Amino acid sequence: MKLSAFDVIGPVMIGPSSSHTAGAARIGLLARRLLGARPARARLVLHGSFAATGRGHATDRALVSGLLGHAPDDPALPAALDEAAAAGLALEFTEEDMGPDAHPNSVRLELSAPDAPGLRVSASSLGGGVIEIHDIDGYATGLRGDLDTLVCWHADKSGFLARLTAVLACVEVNIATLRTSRHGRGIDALTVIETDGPVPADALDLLSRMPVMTRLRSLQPLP
Amino acid sequence: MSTASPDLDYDSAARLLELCSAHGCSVAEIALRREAAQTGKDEASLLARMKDHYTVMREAVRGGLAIRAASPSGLSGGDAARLHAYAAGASPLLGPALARTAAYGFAVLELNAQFGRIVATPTAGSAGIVPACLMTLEDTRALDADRAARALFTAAGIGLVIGRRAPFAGAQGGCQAEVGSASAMAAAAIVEAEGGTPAQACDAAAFALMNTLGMVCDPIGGYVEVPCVSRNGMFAVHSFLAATMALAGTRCVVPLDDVVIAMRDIGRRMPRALKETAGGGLATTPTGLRYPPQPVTGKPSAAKQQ
Repeated sequence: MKLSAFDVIGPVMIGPSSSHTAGAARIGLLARRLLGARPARARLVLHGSFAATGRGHATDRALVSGLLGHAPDDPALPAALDEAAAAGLALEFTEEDMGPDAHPNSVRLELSAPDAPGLRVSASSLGGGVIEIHDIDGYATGLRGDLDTLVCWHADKSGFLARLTAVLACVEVNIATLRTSRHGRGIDALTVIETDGPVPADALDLLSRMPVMTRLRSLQPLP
Repeated sequence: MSTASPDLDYDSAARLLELCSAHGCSVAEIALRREAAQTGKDEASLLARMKDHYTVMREAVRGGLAIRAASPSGLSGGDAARLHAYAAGASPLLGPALARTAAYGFAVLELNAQFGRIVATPTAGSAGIVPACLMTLEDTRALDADRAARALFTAAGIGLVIGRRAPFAGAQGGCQAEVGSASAMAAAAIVEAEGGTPAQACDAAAFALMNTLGMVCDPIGGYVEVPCVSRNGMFAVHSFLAATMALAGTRCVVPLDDVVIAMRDIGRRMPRALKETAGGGLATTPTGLRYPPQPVTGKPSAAKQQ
């Protein structure tokens, strides 16, 4: 993996653990941005070290702080459970053994909000605050959240990527990475595109009106 | 990747040293130019961002030195202030810099344990070492914030060499991956801040990392406090010793790249019980068991073997 100098010296964060606190906060924030709304209910399923030592490391509060939209260095992090209660966010924490191949710092978030489709995200905190989203709604991804990113839920129809990349070409947005995964041929698919810089609003509007696009999220780089 | 120049990238210390030699510049300069090439940002803005990180580091040291109360677990708090006071006393052992360096390392980790704001360098559990070393250079060598920002690019440059081949997470590689890496980064940063060569910086990093090999991650209760707080103070001093050896012209027989491979190998063979699971070592001593890990679901948990 290609590290930045600021992966090594950083992130700026609330303690005590870059993997268990800052990484967890970044996972929560990315999940919230994928949901596109403040969640009303969140089920957080923890594996391995996340489950075993999570409270002492404030992993629970960090995940929820991210879900509330806070950056990993926001001093509101330690009080996130109280803030969630006040905001009417219903939380359920459970443990699950995700198997020997699962990274020790893994979590699955199942989120719902009144005005947004539900979301299920599996992620791991890899150390030093670096995270990876392995799975969004059952689609395999390798999203790290460090770049501007488009996440497209769409029908698996020919021409989708050609149209999408044509729009990006028109506004001169360079594609860094692109990955499509699908539930089956001709069924539903998810495309994740990382770009060098944000996609302008008018292009986003055009993309969101593509006929086979079910849902589109535009994510800024994570703090 | 339109602006990237791939010839500035490196995945080993050997390649890093070739680049330093070819361009006639320091590890810090190569790390800075690489970052600029890969992100498309100008060097001035990257240096400014690193300077902001240094400001957070200094605030963390200051904040930690002011701590008098115990952490929520009761396992730390107040020792940074004790060391700092001892350093200011009449006759501190080996002069004031030794105790002060340790105090700075303690300070960041004490603040970290109390939900303070720190810079993970490279992780939170090892966040005291690089700041402690740079703050000591401020005290003893008049290091200013601009030079500190460059020294942080030296540290990042070495961190990138390590991170390409080995993990930083204690859960994957043990404490050697966290404190060992931080110590290697700090040692190299000290060398370049002192005007040493890139080869000396890599030797200092190799010495620092080589002499942390095998160090396990067994903190009591899973809290980032015992031994982490004292370890950050002690290994800041270790970094100064590694830098001193390299500046004196001592060469590390095992080059940094090989030490990194050894660190990764040892980390892979290290039992899970000793990798941030609170399942062995200090965590399962009679003392350690008095502070059991707190699982998120709140079920009573013996510190379990994993």
